[in-house]
Amino acid sequence: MPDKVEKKLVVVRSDVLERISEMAKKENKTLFAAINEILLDALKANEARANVGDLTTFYKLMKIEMDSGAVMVPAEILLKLIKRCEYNDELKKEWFMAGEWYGKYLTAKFERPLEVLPSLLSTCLWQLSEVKVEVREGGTTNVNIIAPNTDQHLLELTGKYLEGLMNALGYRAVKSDIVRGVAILEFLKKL
Amino acid sequence: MFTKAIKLKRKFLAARENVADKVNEIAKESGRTVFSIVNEALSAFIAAKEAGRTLLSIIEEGKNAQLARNAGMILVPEASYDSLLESCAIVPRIYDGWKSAGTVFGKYLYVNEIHEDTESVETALKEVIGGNPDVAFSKEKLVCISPRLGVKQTEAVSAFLEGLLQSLNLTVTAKEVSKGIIIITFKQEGE
Repeated sequence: MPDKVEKKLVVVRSDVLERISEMAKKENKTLFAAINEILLDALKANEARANVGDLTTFYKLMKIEMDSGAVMVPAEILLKLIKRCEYNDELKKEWFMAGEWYGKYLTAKFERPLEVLPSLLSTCLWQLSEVKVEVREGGTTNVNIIAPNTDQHLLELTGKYLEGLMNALGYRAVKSDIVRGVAILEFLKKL
Repeated sequence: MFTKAIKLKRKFLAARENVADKVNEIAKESGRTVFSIVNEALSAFIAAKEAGRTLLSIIEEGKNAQLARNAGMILVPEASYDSLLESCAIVPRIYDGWKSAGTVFGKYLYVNEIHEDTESVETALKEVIGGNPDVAFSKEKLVCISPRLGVKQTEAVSAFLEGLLQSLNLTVTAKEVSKGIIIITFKQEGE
């Protein structure tokens, strides 16, 4: 005779439960089995000292970034390359164009790309301590970056990248103030 | 002024006692409610299913991306990185940098106890290399195929993989690298 499984009741949102119930039926699983499976998987996230909500959000944003053609590079290598290359307008133009392409990609993928931008930038530009995107009334959008440990050239190139990105979203740069570790960028909606 | 609170309908559901207890424990530790943790897990499961994925695979990939971030990798637009790489005449030193980045990443896999499970190592490498490469990691061979990689980037990834293998105490015995294809054979140190 199989051992009796001890059970406990937990409270859940009924709309969420209905969806899970439908999905379990499709997979010929009991609701009890499906729920336990999901919770056990979610507990695995906790083993890594993360929570499942944060990890799935992080994954979603990373996926957008990787699908758009971003690559993971050791930070040290990127800095070496920037130092060894001729830091000129041509290089800045390339980063502007890369940002522009990314802006077009976001426009094609999202109905309101400006809404996803703050979480995308703050999650995926993790080398920067803080990225704040503020959409203001009157068609102005500000992007403020705090990155005291980031190389000045990389910060400037990131600024160019954001200018390209915003250009593709229909904004032109009206202010680009980049000093050591801080970037204040202001954009105005194009008429 | 009136504010309308949306009351969420709740339902009870049975879970295995040990699983429910663990959730309860996490709730206490993190200062959250069991309700929010369970709903977060179930909602993440629904979102994963809708994306054609499993919750566990998303959790794993999210964890891997965080590992890469903690190991000093950053996301860069591929076009910008390629142009930097192409314009640098050198590059042995750059490859050394990739190799040491691989060593660091390997140590992270080791510390997080991922190194012994070949499938998990493959998933982690796919995440870091990007572009959805085919990665096969067996007891004596590591194969990576990614037609998207250029010649220099293939060399860089190959150096990264070599560093990673060394940090896992595996000695490289042969290496074949051509554009988009890397085959590395290795043996356990001391064999």
